[in-house]
Amino acid sequence: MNKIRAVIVEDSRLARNELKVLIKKHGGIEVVGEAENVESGFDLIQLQRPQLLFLDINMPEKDGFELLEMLDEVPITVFTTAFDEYAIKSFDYNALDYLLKPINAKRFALAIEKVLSALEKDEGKSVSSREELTDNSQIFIKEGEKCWLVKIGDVWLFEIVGNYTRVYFKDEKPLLYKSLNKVEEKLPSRSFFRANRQQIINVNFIQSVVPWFNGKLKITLQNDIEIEVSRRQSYIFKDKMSL
Amino acid sequence: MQLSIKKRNLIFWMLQLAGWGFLNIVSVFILKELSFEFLIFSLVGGVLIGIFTTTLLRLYLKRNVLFENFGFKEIIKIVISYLVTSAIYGASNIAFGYFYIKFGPALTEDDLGILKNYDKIGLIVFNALFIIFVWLVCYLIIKLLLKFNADRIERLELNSTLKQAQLNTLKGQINPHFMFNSLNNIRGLMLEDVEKSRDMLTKLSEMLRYSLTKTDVNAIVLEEELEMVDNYIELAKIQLEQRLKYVKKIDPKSLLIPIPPMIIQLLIENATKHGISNLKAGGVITLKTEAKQKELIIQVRNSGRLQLDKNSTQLGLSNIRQRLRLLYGDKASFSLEEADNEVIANIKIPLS
Repeated sequence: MNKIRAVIVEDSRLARNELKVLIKKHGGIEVVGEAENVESGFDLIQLQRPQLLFLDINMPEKDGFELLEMLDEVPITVFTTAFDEYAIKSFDYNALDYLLKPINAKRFALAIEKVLSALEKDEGKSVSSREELTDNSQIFIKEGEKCWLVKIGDVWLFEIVGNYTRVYFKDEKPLLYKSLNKVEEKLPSRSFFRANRQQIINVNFIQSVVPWFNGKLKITLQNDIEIEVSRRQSYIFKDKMSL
Repeated sequence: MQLSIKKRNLIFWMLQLAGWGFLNIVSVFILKELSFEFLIFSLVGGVLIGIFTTTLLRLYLKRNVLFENFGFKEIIKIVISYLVTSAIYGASNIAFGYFYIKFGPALTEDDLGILKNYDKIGLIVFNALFIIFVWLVCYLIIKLLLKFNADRIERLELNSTLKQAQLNTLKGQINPHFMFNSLNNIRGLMLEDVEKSRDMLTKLSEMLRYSLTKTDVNAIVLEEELEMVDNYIELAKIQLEQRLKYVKKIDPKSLLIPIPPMIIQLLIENATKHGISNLKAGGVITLKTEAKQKELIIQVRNSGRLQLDKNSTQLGLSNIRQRLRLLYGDKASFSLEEADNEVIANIKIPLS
């Protein structure tokens, strides 16, 4: 089996060494790069496209959360921190694991096990150098004190709010600080469709499509939300779905 | 429970009404039967006079008598105001009586019997002096009780802020983040330099011991605090490595001056945490002490900018301020400012 490709972002050299010793002992992981701050960590992740990220929270100038916010796609992330951070606990679901420094070897092995099973589940997830996200890609959203790690396939609607984008998934709808056009560029075109100037929908969530006025279409999503498709986009939609 | 002014006023008026109402009702019924008109008149008149005169008295006492700084002068004021109020009270009573005779309905025998008393000046004077005296005593007792209560609450609050301050110093002692990072770094350091790791473990132990034992001490010689600071810097350096540079300019005359423990330490910690560790390229921390004729000056400077708003509870800073105030009152000072990309913290402690 191939080794998991991991990147370490941590400002203390000694702490990086410590972590590398643990990783080496474990055997299943290959460290493909390390960075000592968020900026160089960002470049490194863009370049290496790792499957796993060990991320310190407290770093100079920008913290670990800010790194995740900068990324279009977030690899499986394990936070390393010296002290229980309230921020980690603010996570909605247990999408991210965290290890307390100095790291207990048993606890480390457990975290890696979780990572492995997550990787197996999403076979397509191993982040390649492709430009487009997949349904299994994760994005990180932080609004105020709350953080979400969202699987693209779970999102049923993206909607314009000023210069930003509201992301609807499950019962949540946090604000992503990116424009809808920027978001659209990265979305998997097989699953997502620009219904009109304001909205992008996930076609996997469509329940019914009915003709509306002026050659427009009205789409009802599984949660009974109705979306009006603009005329221009309606033609494209019909074409695409060969209606 | 501390009463608000609004509540106090409400209670005052209720007591006034109840007291004067009760007094007048009782006095009217004790006396022989009166005509209905005269009864009502006496009742209403008596209550009005009582409330009016004593409210005036209260107004005067509130404005002019300092209960916080009670002395001979205040007693004189109270006695004079008491006599004046009694005089007004008595005069008003007489005036009301004559008013009734002149404009009221015809008098019965009994009414006349009562009104005759108004001519006995001695009775009027005694009556006024007695009633106003009773009122004044009641007023002063209530006032005193309220003041005792307020004082007690103030004392309790002061006590709890003192405790809070002590608690804060305890909290500020060793930052858990720093401690665990240090332990982790020492662990990493063992892989490359065992001798240095051993040394660092000793320094961390010394810091822990210092913070565990010096918490209830109010003063410590500067030299001892400096050792603690050196330990801290050494430990911070294994985390920050070449990013942290430390410069000391210590006035030898300052070494034996007693200072509150953990104060320099907290400044250095702030300079490291909010200053140097936020800079990718790192920076310099400079500690300077200077013993002047009348005061000790402690200055900590660090590269970086002052960011008070971001991610900081400022627990450390308010801790320093609070302790300096508790120990030295207004004579000590603490300032934090930014100049030329440097954050400068200044503490001045008076030399007694």
